[in-house]
Amino acid sequence: MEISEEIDFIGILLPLVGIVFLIALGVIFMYQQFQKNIIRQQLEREALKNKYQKELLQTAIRVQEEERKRIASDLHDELAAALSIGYMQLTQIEDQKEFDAKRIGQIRELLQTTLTATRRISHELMPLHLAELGLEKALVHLLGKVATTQKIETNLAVSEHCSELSWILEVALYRIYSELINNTLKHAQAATIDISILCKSDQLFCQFTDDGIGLPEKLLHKGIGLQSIENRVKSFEGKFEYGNNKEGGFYCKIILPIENNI
Amino acid sequence: MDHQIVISYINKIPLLIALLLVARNYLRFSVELKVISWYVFLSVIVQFSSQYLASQKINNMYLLHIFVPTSFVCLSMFYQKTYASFLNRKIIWWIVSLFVVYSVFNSMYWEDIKTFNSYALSVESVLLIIYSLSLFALLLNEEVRNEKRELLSSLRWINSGILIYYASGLLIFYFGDFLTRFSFEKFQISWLFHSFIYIVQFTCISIGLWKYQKK
Repeated sequence: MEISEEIDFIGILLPLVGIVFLIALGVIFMYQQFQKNIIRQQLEREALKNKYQKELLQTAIRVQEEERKRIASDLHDELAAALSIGYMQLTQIEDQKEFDAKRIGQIRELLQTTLTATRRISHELMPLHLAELGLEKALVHLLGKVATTQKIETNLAVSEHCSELSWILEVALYRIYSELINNTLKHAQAATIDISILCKSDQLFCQFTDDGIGLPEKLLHKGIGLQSIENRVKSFEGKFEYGNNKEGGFYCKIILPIENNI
Repeated sequence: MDHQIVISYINKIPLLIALLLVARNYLRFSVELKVISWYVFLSVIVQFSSQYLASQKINNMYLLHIFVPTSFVCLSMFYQKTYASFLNRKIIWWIVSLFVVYSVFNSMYWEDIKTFNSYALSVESVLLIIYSLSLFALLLNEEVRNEKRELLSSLRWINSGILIYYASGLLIFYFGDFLTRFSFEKFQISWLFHSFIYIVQFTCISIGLWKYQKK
């Protein structure tokens, strides 16, 4: 009783109410700050994701346009030119109204060249070996062609169970390796190319290495070829890593999930 | 008197366990736990110094005047590192600066250095309760939980310890000045309760540190 008389309720409890009020206000303030920052970070992430997707789309369009340009140029320079020469020669024979065996022989040769060019363009669009014999044989053929035209040693190792890959995955891998081989031949000054494909349970481990001069520092951040490889790998939900080896040379590692892509 | 001595020894056990965990794993700790380690270290120094001074019958209250701002700086840094990108750094630094200035003024002009600094302790408790409740609110967000996945369990234990100690202690600190007007025995009872919540705080901190070490 004595104690309670000594306690000044207004003097003691009112500040206590004020303290609780302050704590509540403080927590609300902090919570609002957190929310503001979380939303800001989410927006930043979304913007980055959109930017990345836009870049991917632009690269895909650019690659497609480059390919169209190349096909158009092949058709125009080789087929159209040969066919128009043939057309002119046939018109001349028609005008002369007499049988000229030499001219007809020239036209036959021209048609033969045109046919070969058509086959080459067609094979470049969709390699015959890949369609008929599968990825491993197509790569053997491609590396064989490289070895005959360039002074370079090529090694290919493909593990067992790699013959059951889906068609679309085989085409993608063929295109990726073609691009990498092409890059090495153009820029790397390499003496050896090593390719390995390992099928392990539900994943496909692909590796490409050369012993050339490696990628220059400024190209380490993706040229159009590497971007197109990355797009292909991303479309299969795979992982893509590349760079320069410590001992020199270029390396590229790709991991693709098989289950999703059969 | 014996009773008091026993409690003063018991309340150092979780503190020493925390110190042991800090000594064993300091280099492996994340930056948040390194800051908490400083708080543990500071508490050990202050606890043992005050024990020694008390045994020599020397007034040790001035240690509390040093401990309050320094421990607040440590714990604020812990929360600042934990909130990381979710709170503007400047907010914590403003709170710390204002509190340290207030604490120094309090010791110089309002509460004598040889007395219990209940005002500064009360303000410190209010601010730490706000920090810890805010952290619990922040940890409700799934994104934050994912970002702090490795630390989550440790953070929950350490934050619980801080909340339990400062929320319960707030009343003791708030009424501290008032309690000293009562008999010495009643004052001792309130400090018995303080010892209990002190044990709880460092037990929680030790579990938090141990949970991280386990990972």
